[in-house]
Amino acid sequence: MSHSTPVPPVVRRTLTIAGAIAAGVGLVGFLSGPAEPVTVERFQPTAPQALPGNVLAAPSYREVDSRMVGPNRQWISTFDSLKQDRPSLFDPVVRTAAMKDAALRDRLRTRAFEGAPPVVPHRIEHQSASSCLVCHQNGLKLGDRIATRISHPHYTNCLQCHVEQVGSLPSTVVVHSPSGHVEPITNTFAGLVRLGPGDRAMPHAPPMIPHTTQMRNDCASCHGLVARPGLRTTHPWLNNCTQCHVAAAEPWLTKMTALQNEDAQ
Amino acid sequence: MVESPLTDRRSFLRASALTAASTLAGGSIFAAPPLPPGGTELPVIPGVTWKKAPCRFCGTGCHVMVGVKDNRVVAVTGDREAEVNKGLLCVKGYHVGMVLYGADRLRTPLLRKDGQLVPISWDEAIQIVAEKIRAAPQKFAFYGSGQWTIPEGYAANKFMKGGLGNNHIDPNARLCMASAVTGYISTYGVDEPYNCYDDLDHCDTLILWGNNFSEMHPVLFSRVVDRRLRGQKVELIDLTTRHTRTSQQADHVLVMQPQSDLAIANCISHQLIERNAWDREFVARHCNFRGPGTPQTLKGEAITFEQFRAAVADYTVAKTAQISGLSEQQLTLLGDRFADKSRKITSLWCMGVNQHTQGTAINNLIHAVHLFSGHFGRPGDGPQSLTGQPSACGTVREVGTLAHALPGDLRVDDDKGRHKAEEIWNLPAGRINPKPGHHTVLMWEKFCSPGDTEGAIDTLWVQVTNPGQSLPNLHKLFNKKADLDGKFLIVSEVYPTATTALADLVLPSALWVEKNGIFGNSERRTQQWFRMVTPPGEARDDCWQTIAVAHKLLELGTEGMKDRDGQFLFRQTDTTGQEIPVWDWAHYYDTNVDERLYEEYRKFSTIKHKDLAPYSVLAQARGLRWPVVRQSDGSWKETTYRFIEGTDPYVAPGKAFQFYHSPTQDDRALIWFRPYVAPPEVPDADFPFWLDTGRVLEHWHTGSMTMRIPPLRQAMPGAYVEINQEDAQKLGIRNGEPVLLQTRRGELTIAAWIDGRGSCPQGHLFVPFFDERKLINELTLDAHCPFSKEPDYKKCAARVLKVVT
Repeated sequence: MSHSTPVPPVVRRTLTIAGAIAAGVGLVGFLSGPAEPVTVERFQPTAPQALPGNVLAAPSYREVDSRMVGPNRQWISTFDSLKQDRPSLFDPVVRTAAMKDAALRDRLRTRAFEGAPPVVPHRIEHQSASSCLVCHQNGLKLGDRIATRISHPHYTNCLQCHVEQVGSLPSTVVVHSPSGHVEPITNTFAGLVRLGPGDRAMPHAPPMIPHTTQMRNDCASCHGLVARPGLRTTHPWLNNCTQCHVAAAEPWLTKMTALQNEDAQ
Repeated sequence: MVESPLTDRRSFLRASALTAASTLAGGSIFAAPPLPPGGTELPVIPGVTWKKAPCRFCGTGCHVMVGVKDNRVVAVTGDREAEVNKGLLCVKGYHVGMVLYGADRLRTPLLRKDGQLVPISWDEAIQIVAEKIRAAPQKFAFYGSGQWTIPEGYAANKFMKGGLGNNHIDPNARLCMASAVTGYISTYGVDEPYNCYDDLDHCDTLILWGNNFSEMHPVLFSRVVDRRLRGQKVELIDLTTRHTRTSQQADHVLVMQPQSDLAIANCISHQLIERNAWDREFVARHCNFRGPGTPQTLKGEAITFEQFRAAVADYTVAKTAQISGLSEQQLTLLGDRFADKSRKITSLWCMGVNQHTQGTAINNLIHAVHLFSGHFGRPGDGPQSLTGQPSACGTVREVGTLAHALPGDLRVDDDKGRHKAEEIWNLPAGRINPKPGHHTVLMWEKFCSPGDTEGAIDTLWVQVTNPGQSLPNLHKLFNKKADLDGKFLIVSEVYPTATTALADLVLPSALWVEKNGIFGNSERRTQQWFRMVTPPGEARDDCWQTIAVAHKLLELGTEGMKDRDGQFLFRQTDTTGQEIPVWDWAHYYDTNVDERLYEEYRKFSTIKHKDLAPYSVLAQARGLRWPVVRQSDGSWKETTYRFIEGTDPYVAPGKAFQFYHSPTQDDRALIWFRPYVAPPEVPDADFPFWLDTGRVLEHWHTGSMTMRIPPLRQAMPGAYVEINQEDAQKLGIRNGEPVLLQTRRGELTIAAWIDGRGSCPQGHLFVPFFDERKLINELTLDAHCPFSKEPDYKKCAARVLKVVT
């Protein structure tokens, strides 16, 4: 037999207030997040470092025990157990302005400009597409690191566009400057930074897609379950994204309009 | 009120019908290419305008859309309307916009005074160049580039050959695809591929002859391997001297000994005869046999089939296996493929075949195996050479900026050719010198020789290239300049390079979309773009620099700068007949000089059926493949396949194939035999390794542009020597350790990389040439093909010494 223990009114009131505050903060964050201007740091190359001579003598791949690093049976069998924290479809999504800001900063860390293919922020030890897809086929979360899901699975030659950033190897210097001095190279390119946030026709209307969708025809790659928390959709159970979110007017629409006019004549 | 166009079904249907119709009208015998992923839209961003341009880098000729805001390039995206790349780019292409913004762009003319380069004015600079030329016009040479735009190369060519009567003009493309040119001319009688990239969508087997396709032409490589994802079977055969990224995706990796490609090709022909599998009908109707002659010549001599059979009979599978290091099974595999007429086989090659002391010969032989086996002419079934520079075809091969050539495939040593050029240029008869000038290696040898040497060059003007890093055997062909008196080096550049390091005068140039331009890519596609941003500082167009010097010479009284009527060679007039002073930078963009020079140049293009589209048509297109021929309805139609009835308008009805510039003047192509000839330098006891050089995905050419792009530099920060694991172990070398690399010509300390990006067989080394701090070309060989004069950067003897630190 059981009997209910009455919750003391003080506790109940505290919980209610706390709940209201949390909901309020969440709501304000949710509404203000997409509209808030986000300041972002520009991607900066690593400062040039000293020249070789003291390059670390790493063992060659053949010297490394390949059973530990390759896509072998042992590794594959334990790989699934490493995956973690994949949220379920209906888990509540918490997304704040700070999280969105962090996500956008993180995106910029690996892109020279909006639309550039992201560089690879980790070592590449195997060059085949299948080794990229081990993590990037479905997306993967390991601790606080996220391997985003490929958004263009119809391409196989991954390293054609996505290159490793070997920050630890010696960076280059100009040896032939007109002054005769050895000078570091810099680049003053200032790329397009962020497209967005998407326009809304009215408060609560679904925002338009503010960016190009080239090479990005799987929205879930950036906005799905396994994505940077600040960019996740609040409604991952809805799959037909472009039903509500449309791209801004495009040149091809103009072309169609021109055809219509021709028809009219 | 504007109706939503999406709901207008009639418009939609009409648009679909138009698309279908234009696909048919485009002359393609294939289905429309699949729509690029993501559709064809571009983002609409306030203040950003998007315009088309071909990529600045390699010979593939991808189109990019360039986003410009406030006179600066801010973004680049793949052009989804471009047939070549269908919206895709490689990592260099995506970052090509950053090429303009290296902080050390050259912004002002610089003159060397007391060893230091000091700023001077443009007026002074142009005056100095003109005076240097006037001092000894025949001791002046112009060194150009496959990165010259077509109008730049055309202006330089006209200035030299038509103005100064001086043929000492040659491009860096001599180092890059000259062997392909001699190969095409001696096989078909006219230069450039008959086929196009469409082959990549249709081949069943792709054979890569010494070509690391994955890293050198990544977008085209993807075009092939991505077909596999669509369920198509494409077999890749990688004929290579080292394991590369291309090998990783290949079905068969055939690792051969350097130079043995000659024997392998002959072995294929031999197997076809043994199996009775050569294409009798095609050969009987469309081909002649050709032997090398004794000694070998470019034109060779006619031989019979029996003589051909006897010549290739030497190359049995067993003997060729010994020469090449391939197994008999691997050689038989190649024989199987060519014997199978049901398969469509595409052969591709680039530097591995062209940078070869037998470069012309191996080009001849690849064409031969395709012609002899009948693997020719069907979409996906034929041999095609690739180029490494964006306008090696357009500016060098078509404009004829080679020491022996004139625009339109004419030659200076041919009376008719000279007269034709003099007529188009309105020059007095006899202006053009009939003697070919110095080819690249000779030009630099003569520049690095004392002024009283026979044929010495004293003043040399370099545009759009970096010979101080890219010439072979640099100590002999470049560095020696520093020790000689009376040598004056003029360099038009965008960044400080190994070449400006020895320059006496540096002229800052506009780069890529800072100027109007036209390129011609590997598949005969001519591509135009407009200026989008202004160049930094006082940087100015290379084409303007040439015209300004020409006009200064005119002012100083050089007769050659006048045409038959006493008018300036580059005279341009407005609609009222008034001369536009295009030599004055303030007025250079009063008219579109590119368009005017191009339209003048177009007159040459019809001479050998290489008809180019009008400028205004090019401006609307994502490049068009010549011959571009006007149709009865006034439209312009490009040509996908030349020499083939139905696709080439110049083939007579009923001919099926017509090689209408045949070397034997009977509409036939030549099936060559060329013997295996050992390389001039082979490893021995003192220098036991083969040394190979080349490129990597992230960097282009000498890296003067890509090393200034942070994501590319960070991905591949410096050069290395690739060495085999067993060799490294024997020498006690570990990964990343510096080693001393030596050849008979030079030495270099460089980090070792064991089984990294690529993997060499034992006894082989590979070093990329992009790094200006690691000038591998101080070690390479300047021995070159006797016909194409293209040096061999791919094989010489070297040794490796461990550096004790």
